[in-house]
Amino acid sequence: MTDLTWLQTVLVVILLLCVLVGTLPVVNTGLQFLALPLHAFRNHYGKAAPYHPNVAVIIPAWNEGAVIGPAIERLLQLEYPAERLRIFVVDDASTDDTPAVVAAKSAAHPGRVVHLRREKGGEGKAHTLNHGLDVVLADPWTEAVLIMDADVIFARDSLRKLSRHLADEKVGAVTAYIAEGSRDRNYLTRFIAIEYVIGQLSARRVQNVGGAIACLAGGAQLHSRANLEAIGGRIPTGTLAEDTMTTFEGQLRGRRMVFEPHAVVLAEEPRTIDSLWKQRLRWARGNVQLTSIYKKLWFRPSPDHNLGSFSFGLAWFTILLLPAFMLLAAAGMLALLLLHSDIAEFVFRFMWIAAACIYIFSMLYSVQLDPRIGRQSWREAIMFPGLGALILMAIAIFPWLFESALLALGLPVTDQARITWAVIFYLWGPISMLGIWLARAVEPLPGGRFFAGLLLYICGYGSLLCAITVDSYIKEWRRADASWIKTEKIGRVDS
Amino acid sequence: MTAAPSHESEVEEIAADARRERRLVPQALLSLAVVVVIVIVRELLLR
Repeated sequence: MTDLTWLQTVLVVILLLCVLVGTLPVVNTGLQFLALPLHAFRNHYGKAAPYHPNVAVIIPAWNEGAVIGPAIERLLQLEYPAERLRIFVVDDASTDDTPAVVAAKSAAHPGRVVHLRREKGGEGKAHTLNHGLDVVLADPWTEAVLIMDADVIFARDSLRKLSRHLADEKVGAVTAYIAEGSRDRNYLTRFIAIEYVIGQLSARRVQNVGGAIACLAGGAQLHSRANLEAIGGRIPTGTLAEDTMTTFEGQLRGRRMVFEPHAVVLAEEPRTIDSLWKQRLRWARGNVQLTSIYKKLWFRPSPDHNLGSFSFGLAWFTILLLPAFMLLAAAGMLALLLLHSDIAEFVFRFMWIAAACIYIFSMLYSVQLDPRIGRQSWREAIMFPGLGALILMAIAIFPWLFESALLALGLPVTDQARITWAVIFYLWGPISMLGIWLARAVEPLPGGRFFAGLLLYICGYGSLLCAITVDSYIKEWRRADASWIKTEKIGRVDS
Repeated sequence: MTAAPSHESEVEEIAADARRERRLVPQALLSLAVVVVIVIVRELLLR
């Protein structure tokens, strides 16, 4: 730094801070996995006890004829006292054979399977759930309510494993581990399976440790009656993230939410980038909306709940602002390159070595958390950051490899070439997001699915989520139509 | 519908799940050990 003027030195420090802030998502991932072992000692099992409340199951259903039958059958096979379980299917004006399937189940199991029909549908999941809640909460029999999706398949012991936490009256709701369970998996469902291990078995355990849960899985959430009544007996409407808002509202009223990693629920997940995009765009826009709704909550610790804690805020905003962090780091690196290429190279190497260590640690840990998913999706675990990022990690760890490879390929190794490559490397984050946008664009074309998959393996699954988050900013800014778009499910999960 | 197991079985199941959570520690140590080995190998190769 001896050849820098004081102004350049100040600029370098500012740029280094930009890069540091830009790497917060990677740092947060590292902290998350480092905190994960704490769940071995700080969990809710000490206060759990065998407990079988009267459970009203609410299944919102719109054109779920292909999946609703097996889901009901599985519920009837759960290891749970039969007299303590009633199933209410809220048929949201379905136009397929959903009414007939549910009517048949209702006739076969009178009093245990109830068909609730909404003649006017299409208002969204929250409205459909509220129709069911009005019915079940009007009956004093109901002591707990299980909200689930029509396509999920519960493991036989899962409801018991959820309800045992409600033995502690301070617990308002419990959520299960939603695992990808399609029998004919494709590359995308295998990526999603790994994402769910990271996002649930790791992140939600850490949230258990921190005492603040970000979101009860929409596919399997068991609420105590008291919790639902405390939030007005209704699922909040007017947002695309009704599950997250319900989770927040319960905690703001002083109730604890628990993630139960050993209650497993299998779900069918999107098989194309476009359908995944639509699903996640809904979630991402919902999170943007909630960030604004709860603007007075963030980073303001409270004695009543932990949603205002620094760690929870950091985790929330590193996901919400992931694209902004990525762009900030790229811009900072590019400016550093122009100002002092040696410093830029050192920072690049340090950043990517740190990223490589966190990636190896987190992926090795993840495949152990759910060995079934680990066996099925180990390739996607390796390729999770994308081939491009893996190459950058390898270059950072073994720098001589890159120049050797260039020489072997007969490419020039001049200062100009080094600068050109550096620009590409530093801008890899934004480039990979554009690659994902391209993947979505080519997917519907003939042979497009192959190229879309190829682009996903090159650019990485994180870039896909990042690109969707950017789209959510744009859609929210434009106040685009926020109608609830259902993800198509056709019954690929075996019961 | 399958009947729920006995109270004692469920108590034991809760204890077993709590014990399974203890596996998080060796799993973390194993993952960390691999990272440390890679870092050491890198340092040895750089010399």
